Amino acid sequence: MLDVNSSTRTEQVFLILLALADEPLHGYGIVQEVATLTGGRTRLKVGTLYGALDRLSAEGLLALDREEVESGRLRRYYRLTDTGAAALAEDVERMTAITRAATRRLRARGVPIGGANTATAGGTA
Amino acid sequence: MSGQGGKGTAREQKEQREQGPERGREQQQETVPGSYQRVLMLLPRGYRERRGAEILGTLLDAADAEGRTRPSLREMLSILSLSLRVRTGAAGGSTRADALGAVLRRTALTGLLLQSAIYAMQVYGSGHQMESLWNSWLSSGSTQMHDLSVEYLYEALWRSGAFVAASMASVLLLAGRKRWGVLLAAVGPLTTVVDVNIGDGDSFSLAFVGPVNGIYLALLGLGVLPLLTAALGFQRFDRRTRSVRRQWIATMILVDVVLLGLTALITQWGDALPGSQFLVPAACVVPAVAFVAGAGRLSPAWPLAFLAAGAPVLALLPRTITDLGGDGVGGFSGVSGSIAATGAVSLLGEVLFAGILAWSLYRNRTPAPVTARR
Repeated sequence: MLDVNSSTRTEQVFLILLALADEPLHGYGIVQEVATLTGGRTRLKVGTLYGALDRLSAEGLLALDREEVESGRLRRYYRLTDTGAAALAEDVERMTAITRAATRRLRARGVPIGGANTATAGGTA
Repeated sequence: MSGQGGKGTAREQKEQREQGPERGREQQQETVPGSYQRVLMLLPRGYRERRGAEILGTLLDAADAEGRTRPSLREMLSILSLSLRVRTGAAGGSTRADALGAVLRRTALTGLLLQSAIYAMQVYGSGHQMESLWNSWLSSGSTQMHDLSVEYLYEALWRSGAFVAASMASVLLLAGRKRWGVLLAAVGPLTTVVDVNIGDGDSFSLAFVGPVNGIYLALLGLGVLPLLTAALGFQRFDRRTRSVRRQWIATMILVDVVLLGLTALITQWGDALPGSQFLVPAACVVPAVAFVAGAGRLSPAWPLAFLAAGAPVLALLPRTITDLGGDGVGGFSGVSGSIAATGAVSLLGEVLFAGILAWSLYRNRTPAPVTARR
């Protein structure tokens, strides 16, 4: 049986973790990366972003990578910690299991659907 | 990478890194439009000093990308929401904000506990009234049932709903499910409004005017206070609150069972006893004072929470004064204690909570820094 409540991270938090999976990013970089990941459907609000960054940093899922000043603007770059990567992997596993189950059931109904073995993170978060 | 536009040349970047973040903050102060400065003023000072320059950079990056020179309404509301969360104990706030959040959460839980106990007793009261009417109807031999029995049935139904909602709201809030918790916490005040408009057939304005109807004001206050404090004090998916969920559920069950049992006992056998109307309110206040005195040894948070959660009951005081000046009893004697007695005992409780709070603040005060004698 699938335990959909095992994670307490919202879709936005999942997307922030995912955005940082490749490389450290600063605040607006995360906003842009999340928009790219979701095809423009999710536009992170600044208050949501910094609330999440504070919480994820306190939980040890993110860490400050470096500070820079670019064009006179202070930019702090955040990176995913090993704990953060493990949490992200846990969320992906959970969503993959849900996607597999959904695909199986839709196929059983005769609904044509592809990519049964992979979960598209942006679409299922 | 899409998120790192406007980098400049490698040399410029190196120079900027060498200048450091402080220089960046100075540059921003010189060129930032006033509208952005005003938006940042919404944030608490300590948080603004730590995060302000960074948030400003993100806001300005977004403004450049969208061709704006002022913050959008969406951004302003978002910063306002962040400001509220940081001021009430979200991660990133000060220790004072943490303490405020702790008091707000305790006030919400205490208020919901009080609400659930009151609604449990009211359900019992409605059932008891229905039983009386049913018996009198059976003995009268009339073929037409009294309209009031249907009214009491409705009352019992929506008050049962309010009891379950208040109890579940605390559990959900402690589980980190803030949205559902706050939604269920809103059932209490809505039930009071329904009670006023349908239950007693009075007009809304009439019900809240005058000392006689302080009961509605008290009930509305008891409903609105946990709603507001829960909305402000609890954060979504807060891990800090989950550990106390089991203890709180056990406390809720114990309090509800004890109060219901006592109400039933008084209604059945003790109604004629002198002073019986004081028993139920005293059964709320005495254990609460004992608990608060114990908790107050460690922190003033619980005394302050109980003081705040009980404050709406003081709306009964005008009724207490009116009734005690008259026949000395007044109100719904027997079912949930008289209104006058509840007001009097609540006043006593609030005075005790205030005293314990003062003692706790003194006991837990931060020691003054020791300065070396010259």
